[in-house]
Amino acid sequence: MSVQEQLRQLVHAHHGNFAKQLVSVERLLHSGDETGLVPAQQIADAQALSHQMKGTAGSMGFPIVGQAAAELDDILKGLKAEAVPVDATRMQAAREQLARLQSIAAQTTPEMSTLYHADLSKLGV
Amino acid sequence: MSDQLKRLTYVEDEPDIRAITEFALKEIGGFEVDVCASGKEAVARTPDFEPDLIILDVMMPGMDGIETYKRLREIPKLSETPVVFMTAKAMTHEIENYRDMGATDVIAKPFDPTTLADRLREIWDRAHAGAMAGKVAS
Repeated sequence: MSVQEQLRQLVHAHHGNFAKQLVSVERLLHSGDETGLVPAQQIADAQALSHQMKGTAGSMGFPIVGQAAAELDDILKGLKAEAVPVDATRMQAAREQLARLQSIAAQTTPEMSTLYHADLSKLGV
Repeated sequence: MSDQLKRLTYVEDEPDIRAITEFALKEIGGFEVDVCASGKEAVARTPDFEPDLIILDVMMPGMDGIETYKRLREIPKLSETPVVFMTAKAMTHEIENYRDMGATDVIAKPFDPTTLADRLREIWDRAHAGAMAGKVAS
């Protein structure tokens, strides 16, 4: 397998993993108890995941996805800092940003990664 | 310290970022790399590997990057090995904190894997020149 093909394989794998991570974040952000409050631990876990997704998506050549994940990360950082359960009203911004991120990710294919068509021969590879 | 950057220890828990960085370091950079999935692995293996430079993720479960850095610094043969933090926690004050701790440099995530090797060579060249100047002065 050529180096370019290896790189594309990594991008494809990431694309699939990102979709799974989005499902995990969605589950966490909709994990309210019977009163509708989302526990602080779920917020912290969702923030850790979104933080990871921002770095990974950007580094895998998906800057727009990475930026949307960064915006979700920022919102969740604010909620996490309060370290208390969060009600539905105050969860709204995070859930809306998650929906935006999901929409962007759904329209993104591996072939859209900036790495997919990178000319590695220029790098002496 | 060797004259060229050849051997790297790279510590990162997240599989996707680890995979693309490992690719960038080995396939694009041509480095010999010991990839560690945790701080604990790094502390156990790095003394024998004796890298020219260490790259550390910051946010890791268990032993995080900061703790790993401190533990590696306690090992005499690694006490002066350049360390680069690679992190999404790269606000100005956070970068200053890493440098105050003694880190050689910081690479913010996201990063461009196609230029990572060149950036590391530049960082290492600066650190190497500084170390040589220090030896001459003393």
